Amino acid sequence: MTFTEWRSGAELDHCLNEMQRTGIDALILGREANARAVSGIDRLWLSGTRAFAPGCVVVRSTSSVHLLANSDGGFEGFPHDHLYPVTWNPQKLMDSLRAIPGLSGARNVGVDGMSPGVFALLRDVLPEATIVDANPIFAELWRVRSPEKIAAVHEAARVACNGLAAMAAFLRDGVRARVLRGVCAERFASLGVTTPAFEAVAAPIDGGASSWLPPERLLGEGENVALRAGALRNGWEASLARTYVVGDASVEQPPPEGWDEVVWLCRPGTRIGQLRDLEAVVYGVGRGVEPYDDDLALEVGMVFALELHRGRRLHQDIIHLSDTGPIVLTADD
Amino acid sequence: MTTPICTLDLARMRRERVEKLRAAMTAAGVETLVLCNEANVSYATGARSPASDHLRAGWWRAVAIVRSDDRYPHLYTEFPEGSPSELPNDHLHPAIEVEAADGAAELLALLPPGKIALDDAPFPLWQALADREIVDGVSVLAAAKITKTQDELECIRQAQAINERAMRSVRGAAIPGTLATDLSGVFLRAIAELGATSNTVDPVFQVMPASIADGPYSVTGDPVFPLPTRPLELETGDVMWIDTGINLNGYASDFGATWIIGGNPSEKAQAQFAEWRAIVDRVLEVTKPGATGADLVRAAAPSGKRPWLSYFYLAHGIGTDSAEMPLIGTDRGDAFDASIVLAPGMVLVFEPVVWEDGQCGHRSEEIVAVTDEGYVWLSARAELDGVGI
Repeated sequence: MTFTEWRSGAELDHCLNEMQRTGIDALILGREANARAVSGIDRLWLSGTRAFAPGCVVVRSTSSVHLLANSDGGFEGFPHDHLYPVTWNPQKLMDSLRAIPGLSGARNVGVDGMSPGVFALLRDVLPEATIVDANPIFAELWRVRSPEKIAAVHEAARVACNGLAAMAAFLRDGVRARVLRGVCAERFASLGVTTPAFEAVAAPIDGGASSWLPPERLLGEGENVALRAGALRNGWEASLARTYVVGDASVEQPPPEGWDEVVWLCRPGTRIGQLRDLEAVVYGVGRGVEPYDDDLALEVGMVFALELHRGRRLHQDIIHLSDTGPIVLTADD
Repeated sequence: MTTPICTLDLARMRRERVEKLRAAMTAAGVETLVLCNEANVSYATGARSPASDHLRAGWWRAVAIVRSDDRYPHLYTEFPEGSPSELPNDHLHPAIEVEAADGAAELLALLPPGKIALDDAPFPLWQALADREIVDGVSVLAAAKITKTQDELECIRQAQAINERAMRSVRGAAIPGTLATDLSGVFLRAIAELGATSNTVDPVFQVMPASIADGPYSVTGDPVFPLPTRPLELETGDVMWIDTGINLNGYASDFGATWIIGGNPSEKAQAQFAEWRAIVDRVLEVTKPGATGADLVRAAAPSGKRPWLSYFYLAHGIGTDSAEMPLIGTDRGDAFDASIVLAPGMVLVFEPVVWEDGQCGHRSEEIVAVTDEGYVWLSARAELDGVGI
């Protein structure tokens, strides 16, 4: 199978078009979400930031993606000659890169990170190339509005909702926040999803600390607690947050005051900055967090996280802006 | 069970790490070290950020600036509640978004004149530093990180103990008819209850083929491992290789084992484990200060045939990263192995593989730390089909 037969899709096409438009001949990528987007495959998930390394290469002249992987296990059919192996030997890695058709002749090469060590190696492989920022290409890519993306985020949203419901059912006087984190992960796994967008959080809303790093202490009767769950399913993420008051059966709280106003503003043409003026947290979701600039205007087909925290209530949903208005993908049904 | 190395004192650990780091900076002629990688920031400062997929982690990343003449690092973080209490207020700062040009410029303005050692950077930060003299910060860090203090060893031991205890729950669930991903669920729930700070890798429960030719396709010609866990039903007689890692107080653990599903291990499986045991025991016999990586490789592979995956190693270190120096038996070659001289405080995760094509194979992992006289265990001893004594 050739690469073109294996991989087709809006993301790669859009990436290649953007490379053409901006005069970038090749991309050398270290970020897994970027690799997911252009290749359509998932490699082993690791938590947290990772050092920049050439884990995925896109060559415009051949419309091809090459991946650092020892196998096509899990994405069978990916052309074997587009895989290059894991190595601890910088020279062997550089040899793999040199062997990629069309890469050595690239004049403008986009990267999504850099370190002094890798820079020295790339200078060796690509002595003539200008190294440029690949991030603007991905910023454009994140704006691709496709039914596939909406459907994939919606599936991840269902998993996230399930995980949050499991946490809520377990939330009672005397429970420890980290135990709820495990309850959420276990529910995700029961749905075949073992990777999170972030590890689930149950954090007291006390007006001081953030709602992301909970204390080790037990949660108590009557406390307002923010529950957050985020799933990464088949390389697409979705998340939600709700506020509960701890009790024998903990009670979900309505969204904070102003929530309806913020959701109502989610219309074509609204600038992200307008939502942020109302204290909302807004970012695109898809292959991961897809940052939005303040001056970006909402368009039909966009999928994004919307969060509002006022007083003792915190609420976050994934919104799909449809042609009939905002649709909450993280709704209970 | 392993024996505690010391009574854990996290504040002492952080202080000693910074002292080692500053000494390494001085030795390398570096006055300013800028750290952007989560594990490195954690090493220099003890700071914690929420565990997440990497793009989110990138936007949430804390940044540390270490100066050779300052006993405290400067920490820039969105999560001040995750920073150690002893960090002075004038060293704890709001986050700087180095993923974007504005943040990168903001960080640049904070840096003193002179050479900058840098570990890794989002590209906007790399561009902002274009006119500065930048040197490799990873090698400076590696000099400090390669040997661990007593508290660091105790952190690794405790992280490993949680990982192993969680595996006891998982082993009971690993029966025919179970989905491999359900084992991930049992594991992730157990580590949370046992007090892990976070999970670090999608737990690997991979049923291995009898022969490499049975697939999945191998680029290297060696058995393929590890792959992401899929919701496949376990069957009697499956040979499952396991690899999991958690984080406790910033330190990684690394659990590796081979389980036989739904029955007693065959004589072949027992023989493969016995061979694995003999390999590690031979390596342990020579594990002491002054021995080189090449000595360990020779002990493991007296005939020259290397019993481990060609794309990994006989042994790797572990610390705030799940695989760090010393790396022994990699494809960097004999001279590289010979250049590694064991010293007290180095940690070795042994992961040989016994593979008999057509009859599958055995892979487990064991962890020791080099001491003045020899070594001390940081993991339980491996067992066939078990989770350590």
